[in-house]
Amino acid sequence: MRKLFFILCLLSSGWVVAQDATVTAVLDSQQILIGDQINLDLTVELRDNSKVAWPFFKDTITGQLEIVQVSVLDTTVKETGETVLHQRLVITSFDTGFMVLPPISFIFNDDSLQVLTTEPYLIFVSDIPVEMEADIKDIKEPYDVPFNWKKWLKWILLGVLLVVLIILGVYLYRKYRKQPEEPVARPKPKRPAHELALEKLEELRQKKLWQNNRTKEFYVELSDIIREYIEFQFDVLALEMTTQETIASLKLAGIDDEKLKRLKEMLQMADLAKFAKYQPLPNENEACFETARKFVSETLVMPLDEVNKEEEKEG
Amino acid sequence: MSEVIDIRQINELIEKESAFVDLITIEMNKVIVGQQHMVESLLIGLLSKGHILLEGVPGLAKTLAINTLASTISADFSRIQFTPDLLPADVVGTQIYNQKTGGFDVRKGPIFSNFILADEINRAPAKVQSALLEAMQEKQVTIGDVTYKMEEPFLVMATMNPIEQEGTYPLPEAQVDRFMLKVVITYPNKKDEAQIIRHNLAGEFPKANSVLKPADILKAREVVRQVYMDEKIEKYIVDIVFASRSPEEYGLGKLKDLISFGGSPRASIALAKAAKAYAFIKRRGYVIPEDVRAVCNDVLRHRIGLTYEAEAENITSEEIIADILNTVEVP
Repeated sequence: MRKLFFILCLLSSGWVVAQDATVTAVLDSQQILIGDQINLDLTVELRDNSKVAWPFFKDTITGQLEIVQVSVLDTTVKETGETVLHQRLVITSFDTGFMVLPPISFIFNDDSLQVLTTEPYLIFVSDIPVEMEADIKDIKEPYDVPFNWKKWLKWILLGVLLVVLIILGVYLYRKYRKQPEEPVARPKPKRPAHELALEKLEELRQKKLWQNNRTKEFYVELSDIIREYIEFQFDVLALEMTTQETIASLKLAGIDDEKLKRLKEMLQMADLAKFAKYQPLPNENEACFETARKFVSETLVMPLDEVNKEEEKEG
Repeated sequence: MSEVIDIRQINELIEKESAFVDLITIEMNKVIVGQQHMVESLLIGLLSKGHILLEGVPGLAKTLAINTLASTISADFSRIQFTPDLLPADVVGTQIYNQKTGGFDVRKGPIFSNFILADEINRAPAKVQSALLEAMQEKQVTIGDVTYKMEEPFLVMATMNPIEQEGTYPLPEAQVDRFMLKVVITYPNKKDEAQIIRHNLAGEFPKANSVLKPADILKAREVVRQVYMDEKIEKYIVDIVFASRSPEEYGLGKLKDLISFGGSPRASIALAKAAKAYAFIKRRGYVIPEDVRAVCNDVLRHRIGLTYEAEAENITSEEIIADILNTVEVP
């Protein structure tokens, strides 16, 4: 049986030649295992300008030969001027035995009389030999589909581009966003704080505010002078602090309790005059003024550069 | 000289009228251990006709504190437990058909009391919250065609849990604004916690005695109204509230992108009233900047809206208030 099959294969040429065209059908193999796939290459070689009607294939060639894949029709022109048309079909069969690949017809120039056909083929589809006495084997694991980089490359690149754009956006936002304004610090005077305070206290004395029934103004100015002095001398933000907070901060700055007690009484008296319409007695006004002046005198610390200047003068 | 006020006289009046502050504090301290700030805030609300919102994690005695405060005053007290299925009629009341008369009888709801404890206010839907908040604002309730005035003192104390936000209905900013104070309760310290354990293990739960009548509260409120507030303090309050609206004008440009909206005029009013009440509690007949600063957090924390940027950077309204207080010049 097999010898007959090979003889038939040898006899079948697979190509037909007309005067101006040649049609060929070439199979990879004529003996396959059930379900195996083989290539069927169909080629038409035209030596003139004839037109050929290419056969249209659906999903089967015959009932037992199935088409798995059909390539696009490829046209090339040889150097000698012939035009070669080529198409590859991937075919398979799920029946065993001899299958006939029938002749495939090509019609030229829309003329039903100008028809060339390929030679028929016999394809032997063999079964998988079953070893009856062998152990039963487990079914094979599913094949791993190889990762298709080409398919995913577009999405990967798009993702990378998106990430880059986000990073760039965040970077540009941070670089060019409006920087929050820093609070404007109160400018520190060039002259020593105690000098300024004592000078302002002297000016306040000369204004004679409380003597002219302007007690509230007197205490507003007095407390402002002393709080400004504290701010510049001890770096305590006394102008933004209440009396209690100021005293607590000065305690942390190392001012002794006796001085703080007197200062607190003075500031509390100022609070009464400022916020409670309280009219202190003249001796209380004098005492508060004296407390403020004494606090400045007792806590003045001459800055180092001033000390150096003094020494230079003396030297 | 007619403008000159006698501090001694006003202080004497306050000394006389504020004696109950100590009594209430003593009674409350019998039951509530620690939480001095909460007790003080409740008194401020009571004295300045301001409703109070208490926020804290469960177990910090929020409900107990309000309960205790109500029991120290012999006045009507209602507790409304807010739940998702609560209806406005459950709060304000409704009309019920009377078969005998063939007409409708009015059944007043629990809101008709002097003190209302709205427990877990954010667990009820918006329409129930607005029914309550409308009564809070207008001090009156309409059932059918009749409008009923609320009896003074009328004070709503609501509690809210900052966690377990699932299934809650957060109060909109406009409604939160109606609470004069939003007091945030924190955990007690170690010493207080140990005392709480001792109280509970002993099994003897002290009860607060009733030491005050509603009329005393109304009288005290009148004295609080008389507490002197100098225009310098008024300006200080205005500066603080304006700094929350236009921080850049006060050298606080860094806060501009963090604040979506600042305090409303209602915030300024509440700050002034609360500062007066605080001065009264401290036995003073006049307001000083310390009073304003002491109540500033409770008055402003729910009235300053934060932007997404502030939320992303975990900046709280308390931090913004601290920045404002540290920048605005004290008079």
